[in-house]
Amino acid sequence: MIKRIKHCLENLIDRSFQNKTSKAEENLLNDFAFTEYQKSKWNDALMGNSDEGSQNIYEGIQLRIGEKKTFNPYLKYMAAASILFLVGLGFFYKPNIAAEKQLTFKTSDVPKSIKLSDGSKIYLAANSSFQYPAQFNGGERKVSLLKGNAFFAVAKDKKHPFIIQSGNIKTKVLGTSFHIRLSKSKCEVMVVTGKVNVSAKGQSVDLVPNEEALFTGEKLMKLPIDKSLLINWYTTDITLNQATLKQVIIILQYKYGVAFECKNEDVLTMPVTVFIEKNASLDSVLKQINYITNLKFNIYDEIVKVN
Amino acid sequence: MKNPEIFEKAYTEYWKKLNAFSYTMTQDKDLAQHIVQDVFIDLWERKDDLNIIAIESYLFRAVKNQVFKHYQNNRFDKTVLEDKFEDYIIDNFTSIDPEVMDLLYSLLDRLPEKRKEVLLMYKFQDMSIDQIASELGISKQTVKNQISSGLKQLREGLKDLVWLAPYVILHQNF
Repeated sequence: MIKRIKHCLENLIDRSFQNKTSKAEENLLNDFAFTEYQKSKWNDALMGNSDEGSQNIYEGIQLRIGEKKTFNPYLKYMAAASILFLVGLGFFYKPNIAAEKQLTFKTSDVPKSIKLSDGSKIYLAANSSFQYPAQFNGGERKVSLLKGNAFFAVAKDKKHPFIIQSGNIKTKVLGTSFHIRLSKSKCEVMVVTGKVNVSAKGQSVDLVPNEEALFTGEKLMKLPIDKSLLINWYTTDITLNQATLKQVIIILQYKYGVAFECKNEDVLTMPVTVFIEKNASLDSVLKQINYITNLKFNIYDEIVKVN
Repeated sequence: MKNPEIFEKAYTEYWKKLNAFSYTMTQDKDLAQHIVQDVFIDLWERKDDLNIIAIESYLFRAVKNQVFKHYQNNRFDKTVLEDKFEDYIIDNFTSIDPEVMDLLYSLLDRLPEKRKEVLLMYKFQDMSIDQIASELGISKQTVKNQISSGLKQLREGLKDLVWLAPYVILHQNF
């Protein structure tokens, strides 16, 4: 018997995409959409400021077609160039550094932030390392995340795209905020505001807020973000009320750039309430958690183990 | 489309209407902007040139298709569009193609006789609530109640309605 699984609209749309609709049905869909189209009016309260919206969209378009226009002709060389880059690092890179005055910013056990010459702010997690020029010259603002993870609040400057190299992947933006996490096997880029283009090995994805790109095993994928990751670990004190231990660990991984090893996975579902001060050291946070949970978290270099 | 001038013109002229449309259909600000962006990028990458007059209907169709595609992929709250579709059908009962209407009439037939009568007068004969009340000799409140429960029932029916055309065609073949 016919049983309802889908709404009639879904049914109709599915069949329309398979070219299985009758003419009358297709007209119905079309007329429905067209009526809505004609009725649609801009509403500032719901859709935001229209100038901002237009600019946002237009930037997104330029980012893509601008890139296509200039990058297409030498896409082939890019793969070759990245290999050259690795091979020739010792020989060619040094003079370059001298010319551009590259600075390295490193953190050990406490996260820190810096402001770049263009006004962009970088919040670097603990155990991370970041390289940037003392002064931005030329058409692009180029920096690199060498290790660990960071949150970027990039100053708007349409004429000078901001490009971050992290491992194999390249993140290109005009002005926005997002998060990059680099580890041996993978690299993630998560977007909080604005639009971001991420490319790696000839693959490219565009991200909007609440999306992330994951590069692992030579493949670049686009995924939705787990909301708990969007907590502002980089600027504020964090209060986690009745969060699971797993969520707490995820945030600590970001804030301190450490990995966790857990022998007994069952404890991860344990509810905990913790307060993490903005400048707290990992050690003091773990002491607090140990006290609450009666577990024993210990730091071994960049790995935290729990028994 | 490798004509920056026409492209710019089309963007300035239509982005707002298209964005309002994609927002109305999805109620998701970011997704709505994303759809418009993708559609214009596709326009830019088209091999052939469109003239500016044909562009609007091209852009409308492109946004519509994107909205439907995201609907299929559950990228926004689907009930938004489904409610709109139900409203559209109920509001346009009289002007919808008879081929599709047969199905809708079969839904109407499932309503209790009185309710169906009231609804038909209200929707098809464009009678006011006052007129229906005096015509049938019932109170205005009863008319209102009949209409609202009739529409509700119709709406429920629409939700459950599996689009029957393939079934109909099959039926005709045998």
